[in-house]
Amino acid sequence: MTPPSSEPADAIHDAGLDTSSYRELYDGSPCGLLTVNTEGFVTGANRTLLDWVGRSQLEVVGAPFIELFPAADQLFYETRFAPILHLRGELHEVALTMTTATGSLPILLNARLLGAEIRMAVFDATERQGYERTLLAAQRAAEVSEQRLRVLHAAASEFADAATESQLADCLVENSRQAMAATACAVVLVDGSGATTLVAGEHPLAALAADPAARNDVLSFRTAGIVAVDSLDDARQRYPAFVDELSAARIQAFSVVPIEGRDGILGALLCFFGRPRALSAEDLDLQVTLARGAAQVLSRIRLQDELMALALYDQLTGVANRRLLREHLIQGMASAGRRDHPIAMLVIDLDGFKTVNDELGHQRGDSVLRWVAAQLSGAVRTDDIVGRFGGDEFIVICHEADEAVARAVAERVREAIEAYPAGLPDGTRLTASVGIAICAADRAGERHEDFFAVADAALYRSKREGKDRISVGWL
Amino acid sequence: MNSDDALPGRPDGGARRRNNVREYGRPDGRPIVFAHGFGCSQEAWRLVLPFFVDDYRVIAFDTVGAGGSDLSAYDRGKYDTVDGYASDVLDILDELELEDAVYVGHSVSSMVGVLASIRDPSRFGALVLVGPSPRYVNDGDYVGGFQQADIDGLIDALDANYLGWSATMAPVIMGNAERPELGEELTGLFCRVDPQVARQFARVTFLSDNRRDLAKVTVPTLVLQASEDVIAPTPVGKFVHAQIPGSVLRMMSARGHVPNLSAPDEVAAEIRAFLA
Repeated sequence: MTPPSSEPADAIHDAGLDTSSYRELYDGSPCGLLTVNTEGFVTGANRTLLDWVGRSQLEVVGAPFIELFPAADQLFYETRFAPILHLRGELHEVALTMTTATGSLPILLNARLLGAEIRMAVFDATERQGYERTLLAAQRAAEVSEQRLRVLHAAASEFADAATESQLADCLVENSRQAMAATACAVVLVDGSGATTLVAGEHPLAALAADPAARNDVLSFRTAGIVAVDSLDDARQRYPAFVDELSAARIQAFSVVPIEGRDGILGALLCFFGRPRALSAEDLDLQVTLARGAAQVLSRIRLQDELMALALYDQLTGVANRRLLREHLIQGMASAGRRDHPIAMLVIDLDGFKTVNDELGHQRGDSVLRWVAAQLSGAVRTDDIVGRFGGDEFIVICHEADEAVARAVAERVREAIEAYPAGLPDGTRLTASVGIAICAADRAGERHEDFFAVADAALYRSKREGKDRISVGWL
Repeated sequence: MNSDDALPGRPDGGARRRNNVREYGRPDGRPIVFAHGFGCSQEAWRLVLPFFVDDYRVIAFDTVGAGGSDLSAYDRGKYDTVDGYASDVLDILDELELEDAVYVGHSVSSMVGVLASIRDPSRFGALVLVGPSPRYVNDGDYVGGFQQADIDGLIDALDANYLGWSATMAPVIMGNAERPELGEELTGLFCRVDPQVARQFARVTFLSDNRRDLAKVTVPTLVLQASEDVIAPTPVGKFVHAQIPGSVLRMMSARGHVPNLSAPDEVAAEIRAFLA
């Protein structure tokens, strides 16, 4: 063994020590001393170090330095500290664990690179490690809960700002991706008809959802509750049909939690991971909490939508009410002026409806009105607006329609209503009188009340001239 | 060797700043891109770069979270996979408009290069993988060298050193006359790594499984295997070589996991011989 010291002889005289005293100072030093060559082999070790690791000089000297450590510390030392030692020439207080004959010893390591030799001093850090462990555990716990709080707080305030389901879903996807460190997230929601749709994010299994029978299970794992698949091997055992799609999307693990509302399952939040991931209970809990926060806001948005529908749609027939018709009319006229095209309005009054109501009762009358609304919606063009003005009077707004188009729509409307099936009082026929008003682009700046008055006057002509007919007027 | 000399190329798409991209050497030379592994920064290549500056366009960069990268670009979802890091490499190749590039990746960055080259082989002329491992954790017959518990222990060790991290990372500039210097920007950082990023990057590095991807590589590939590399042991290097069609395996006399720092001349000589 070569003593690491290469001090000149006069330094020894200056200190009043002879070589054997130095030797004793080296061997009996209260810290472990090591020399390692740049190849990574131990070239020398003092007695203190040998005592600590419980091995003989023969076993330690000549062996790779890295073998003094367990695998975890080998990984860390080689990837993290070997580069720094090479670059900086020194290491300070590296916390490692050394393998000993009886177990392990926490150490702090200082090292210095001198030419082709690395000199190391090793300190017993048992006591330090004791309090450090406690500190670490506390710090980690604090960090985890702090991070959780931060994530949930940020998510909650973003959720609260969402005005629509799709905004909320986007927000849930983005927050979950960050919180869960997920490669991709998806939000699926169940709509009124019970169908599951992908509302936001990326869903690698969506392509498999073409089959309606499988759709709910593929998209939301709806009957499965909370699902956590930690690797492709796990997926192969539990969801073999999904493995190909997952591999193709480079997904190796995923987790699903339901989005639960007060009255049942509203959908699901799915997280997909690009590497094997064994989620902890805390991870899954975070996902559940995110889904729960979104569920509350989702219920609120749906309630608002319902209230909005109450305010804007006719409760009996489901078509636009007077207030919404007015909005459409104002916007439609403005757009007609801007885009330089005419706009038409149809006012439809049912002939013979009073008899129906009087003789068959209001309930039957209501059912006729619902039927008429459905017939109108089927007869108009896709973008036309159907609404109920009140009583048995309906309105259709036709964007980009000149007289010919408006007449064609009115004729389809008239015929659709004429088609009422049997069951009316004897001698009664259900027909429609229609008044059309056309507003040319250069008149679009006029008041919408005047536009309506023109349509109303045309309707009055149809009524006066014998009903079941169409009249046209120009604004 | 002024890294600030803007070479003609696309307008800055953000990758240069995000990844602290540095350029050296001949602007008209064949591009060679150096990617560092877990635990360090582009400094890991400091001793190798001088062997290439005379005839190559030399590019080095930091992964997000390391060195002089833009930490605000860190996205926990994106960087939870090796794929996320591969996207950044493709961004850099795109932004610098590199063609026929030689990609040299150390440790986890060798797998980053593998994935990037599979996604867009057209940009790559060659891959050099220094100490690659597609999976560190043993799995059945496959010997990666580690158990799951070892990786957990690594995270513990990382946290234990994190307490003293700021002290370790203090920018103390140690002059060393025997080492060639590559400009101020590479000195004084000593593998600066953000501790939060390091935790996640450790998991991404040591818990990913990219064995299935190796067979999809179509770019000429050199696997450089150091002796006695406990992180990526020789059988793993041989596995990588066997899986990548047409690859060349070279066993180096350099020891340990960082031959780019411990034996830069040998690493450079092997790369140059492969490219010759």
